[in-house]
Amino acid sequence: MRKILILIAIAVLGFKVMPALAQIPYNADFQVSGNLGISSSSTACSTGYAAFCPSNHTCKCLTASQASLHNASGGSITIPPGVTTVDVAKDVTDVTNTPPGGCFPAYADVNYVSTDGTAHATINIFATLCKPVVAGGPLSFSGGGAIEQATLIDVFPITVTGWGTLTGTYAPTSTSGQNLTLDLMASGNVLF
Amino acid sequence: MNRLVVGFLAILLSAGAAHAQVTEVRYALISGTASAPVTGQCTKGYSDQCISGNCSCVTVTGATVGPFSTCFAAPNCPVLAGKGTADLYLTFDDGLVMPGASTGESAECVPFFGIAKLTTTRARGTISVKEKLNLTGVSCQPTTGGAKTVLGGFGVAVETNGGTGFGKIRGFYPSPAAGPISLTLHGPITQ
Repeated sequence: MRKILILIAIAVLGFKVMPALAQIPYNADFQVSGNLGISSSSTACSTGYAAFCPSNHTCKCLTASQASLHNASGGSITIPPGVTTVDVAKDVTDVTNTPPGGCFPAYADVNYVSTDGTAHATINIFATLCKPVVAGGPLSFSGGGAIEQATLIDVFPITVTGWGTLTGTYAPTSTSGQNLTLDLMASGNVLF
Repeated sequence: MNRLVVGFLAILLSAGAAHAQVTEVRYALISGTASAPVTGQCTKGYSDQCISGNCSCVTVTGATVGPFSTCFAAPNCPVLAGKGTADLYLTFDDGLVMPGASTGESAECVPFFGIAKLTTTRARGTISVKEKLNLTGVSCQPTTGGAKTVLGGFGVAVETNGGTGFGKIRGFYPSPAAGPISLTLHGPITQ
């Protein structure tokens, strides 16, 4: 009886430390869209990487409504319908130049949970938010992002890791509809 | 007599136009050799900040400043700063790296804050310029190896002739240590 218990214990321990069965590299283009509000507050965001405002800086938290996370690359990874939230903390203290205040560091995170709860993802972002390069154009994001704790779907739920460069646009004068786009060109691994 | 007056006026107008400041999207390429990272933040201007407390400093001395390669063929390519040299000081905030996977991978997009000190001439060498640009963005390591990609933005902090402006940065940064760095800048600049 004692031997059986020891064997079971070894099996359980072995299972816990067992690496993923398969690890497959991927390249994917994750896109986020939404309506990013204009912040009147002078406080940092409260959660995740977007809360990473230096203590002696002033940050303005922008939150997107009607946001959604897509996979635009047409690969086998799918992102079921769900709820996406986007928080962007714009560091107004660390502006690159005054006047005219052209570019600001921005800390952001995107959180997604599928409606049925089987899929979820967090994307952490550091980017520079710049005024329009061309008159009349949108503001632009230029930076990078990393995928944290993502379970998405490829027939079955899969763990997705990765990071990459990020670009985006933000048109604050457009108060309705989709005024925010973020595009993360990610590379990483899918773990089955 | 009328011709003389008209001639003088034309000369005066053209002289005025030569010194008038114009805002337009201008381009620059900064390329050089980056040092190996040294522990701790840089100490020059905008680069002198380390939000996480875990930073490294990379310097690029004597980098070349010039127009985009695509600008060489264009007769009136609007150049940012002109031609000359630059010293760069880049603080990489290693502690501010974006949290990545929970599986033990370390995400490799690192934020940076930097300064570029340019010494250039423009207008066919007739105008000397000293300029400081504040830079910020990220350097991302491709999962497949090779040079890191740089994306970010910049602002003109000081320009001896009163120039102002800002814009976007795109470029490449050596991996894993010292090596060639190349940054292209473009944005609406008044000079």
